[in-house]
Amino acid sequence: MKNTNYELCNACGVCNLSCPLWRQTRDITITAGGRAMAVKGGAHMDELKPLMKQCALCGACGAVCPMGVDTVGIAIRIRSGLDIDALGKSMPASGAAKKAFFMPGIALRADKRLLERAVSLFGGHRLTEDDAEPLVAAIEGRQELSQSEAVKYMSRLAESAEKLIVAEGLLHRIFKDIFGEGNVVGIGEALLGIESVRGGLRPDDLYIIDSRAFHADFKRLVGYYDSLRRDIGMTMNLDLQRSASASGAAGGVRGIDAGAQARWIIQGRNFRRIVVERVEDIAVFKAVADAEVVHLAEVGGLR
Amino acid sequence: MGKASSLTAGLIEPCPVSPDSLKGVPRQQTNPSRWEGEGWESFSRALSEGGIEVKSDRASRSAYATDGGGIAFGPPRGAAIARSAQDVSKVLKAAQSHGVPVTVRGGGLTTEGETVSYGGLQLDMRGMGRVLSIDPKGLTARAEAGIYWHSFAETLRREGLDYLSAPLNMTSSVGGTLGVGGIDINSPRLGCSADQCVSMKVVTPTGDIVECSERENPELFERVLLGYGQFGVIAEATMRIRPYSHIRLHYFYYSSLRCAMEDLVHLARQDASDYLGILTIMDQAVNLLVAFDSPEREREFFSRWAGSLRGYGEAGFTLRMGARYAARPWKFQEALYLYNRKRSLLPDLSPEHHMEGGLIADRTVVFSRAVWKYWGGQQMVIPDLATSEEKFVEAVLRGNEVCRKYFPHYTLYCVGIKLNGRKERYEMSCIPPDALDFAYGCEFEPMLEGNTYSRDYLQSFKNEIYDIGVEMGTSYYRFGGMMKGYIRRAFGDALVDKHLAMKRAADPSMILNPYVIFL
Repeated sequence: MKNTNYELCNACGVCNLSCPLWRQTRDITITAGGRAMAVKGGAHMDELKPLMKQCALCGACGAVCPMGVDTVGIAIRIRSGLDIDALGKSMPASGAAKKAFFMPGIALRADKRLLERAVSLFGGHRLTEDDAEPLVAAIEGRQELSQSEAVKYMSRLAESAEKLIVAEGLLHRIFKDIFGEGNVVGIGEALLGIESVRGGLRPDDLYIIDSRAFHADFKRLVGYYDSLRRDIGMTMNLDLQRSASASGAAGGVRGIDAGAQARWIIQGRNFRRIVVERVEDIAVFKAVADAEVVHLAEVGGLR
Repeated sequence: MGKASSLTAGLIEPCPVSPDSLKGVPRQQTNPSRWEGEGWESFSRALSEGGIEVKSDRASRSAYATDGGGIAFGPPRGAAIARSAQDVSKVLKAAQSHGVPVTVRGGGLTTEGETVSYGGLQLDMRGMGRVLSIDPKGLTARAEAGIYWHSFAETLRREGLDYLSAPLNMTSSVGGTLGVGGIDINSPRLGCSADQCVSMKVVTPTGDIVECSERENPELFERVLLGYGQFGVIAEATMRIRPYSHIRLHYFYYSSLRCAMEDLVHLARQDASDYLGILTIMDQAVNLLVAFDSPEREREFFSRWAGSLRGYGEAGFTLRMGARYAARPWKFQEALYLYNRKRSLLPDLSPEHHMEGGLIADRTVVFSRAVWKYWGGQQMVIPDLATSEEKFVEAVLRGNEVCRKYFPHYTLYCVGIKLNGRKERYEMSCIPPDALDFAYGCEFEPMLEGNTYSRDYLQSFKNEIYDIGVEMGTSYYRFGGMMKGYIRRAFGDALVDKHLAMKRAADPSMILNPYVIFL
């Protein structure tokens, strides 16, 4: 059961340690911990909405919270007004034959070459017609979406999809509630499951895990990526808490200087190539690193 | 500052009633009238003109309403984030001039309200959180003092380096820790964090920015270290550092608290390990933790000292405990509690993604997360005693009896602190006056476990622990804030008045962290 109550917060401040926004602003009031303390100290949830605008929704805070406060769920609720936990409960019963889909996300869909490569790698997965953009935009606070509109969209998807590869990590928690834990994976995990891709990774790679997808399923994926790190010997954008440092390049994020964050991620690390899971990170890391930057889908040969 | 004038005129008079005492014992008045808003408008205008934003919306003020203890409640009138020593200087100069109290906060992990403003300005030092320079050859690093120890470690780790000692919670700040002590499980070997400081940039209560060290402005250096934030705000600190290493960890289990403590003292004296501490589940399962930075030190320990310890390995201890509780079936609930606690805690002390070939990687993350998960809560009550070696065992055994009286479940955490002679900074600090080569500390932490205890009950518990300190002539790690009623009783009027006179000289309007020690 997800804890959705800020009052569980014990003011440890551990959430700040992995927060890219905290790192750059040092302003406690715009972090998950600061918001929780504000609520406990008497502020109303409505007063927090302006403070939420800059949150990257990377999920690191929730992943490292020792009290299990559902910081991401609360953030989404404040920003979008959506009750995403209720979405899964309002889905129709399954009926027609369902298929496996690949939802590449806006950025990957716009990169025709990479998209074609990814589609080829994913073989039997059909490309979705859209990327749930209205839902993503609502969660990121960029546009309004009513609960009923969100239910309507998800119902259409639920009628035809059984398994999904979803690039946008923000959608994972909603989709897993609807389609089941094992039926939704991120693009990174899906590509890493392909031998030719995994085999193309090198010990001198710096591997940039997509923070949103990683933290949406942190308990499981922290072990998964730790095994990958040991197998290949590469470094990753993991901090000392083993959360994945976000560049902040994901869509709709204000308030984070992605270049500065990327420079922090590469600081002191030895690598010859950077491999990213998120398309938006390609440009960010190319701008700051004197090294080849590739998307995971470009690593290794096609099957 | 109207209210302060009576204080600057002479000594603070004793008062027969102290709000932190239920026993009716005549004590120092600890809660005189607080500042009630005089001068605020002109003060905040002065800061604004100086380029310092003061936030006074409810959400911003509420974020600072309490501290890690969760018991003291007192939102500031406004909050400002310090971004430079110059910012701090402007704030303190204006505060002196307008008579507005300033409470400084780093990690905010005090438990007795020491970083709670009760009105006035909250100055958040975490805006100053950068590592400024690293000297890998000289093994020192300079950081802005508002940096979290964990963030300090993140930057040092990229260079294969680490700090020496820090509190086991990740989110204390360097500056806050230097003002109090900074005790880690390697403190029996390396001393406290404050003793690892090489130099500092301090902003005095009158706003002067001064570099200090044992050679440069040594009087200020000695006053500010372990000074509870009374004699200046630490803006930057140069700390000793070391090469990073994973650690090799071993546990020895005892059912006798006395035996475990005696063995701890023996190992500390012999410099037998790199890390050493005691963690208990009540006084039934006492765990002596021993760890090493290198295989050589580990081998030496097992060849020279391990055999003399009176603790058991896990299997042997489990058998003993099984037999013990089998013979005492009426203690079944206690046995079940110990079993469940061990079952949940031990895996979290060696999580797979922090293990490299049987060694713990990033041990402060592992231990700190366990501390927060198993001992953190909405309220945290952690009275403590800091003693000389001679008084250590008796003080802890007496404190243990108090814990048994008040709570069904609790933890004791004991650690030693290596001292470098008697330094001036130790006067009126957590280092007991009679400690020579080593000091020892014990935290007595009840497991509140979601139960509701009244403030009075919790205060009574703390008072009984602290009364042991008064009777035995010890010190405390936490003697400010709500526990400052014990300061004169523990240290004596002569010493306290000496420090109060120094405080008045340094802080004429008594505006810097006013409610921590003296007001």
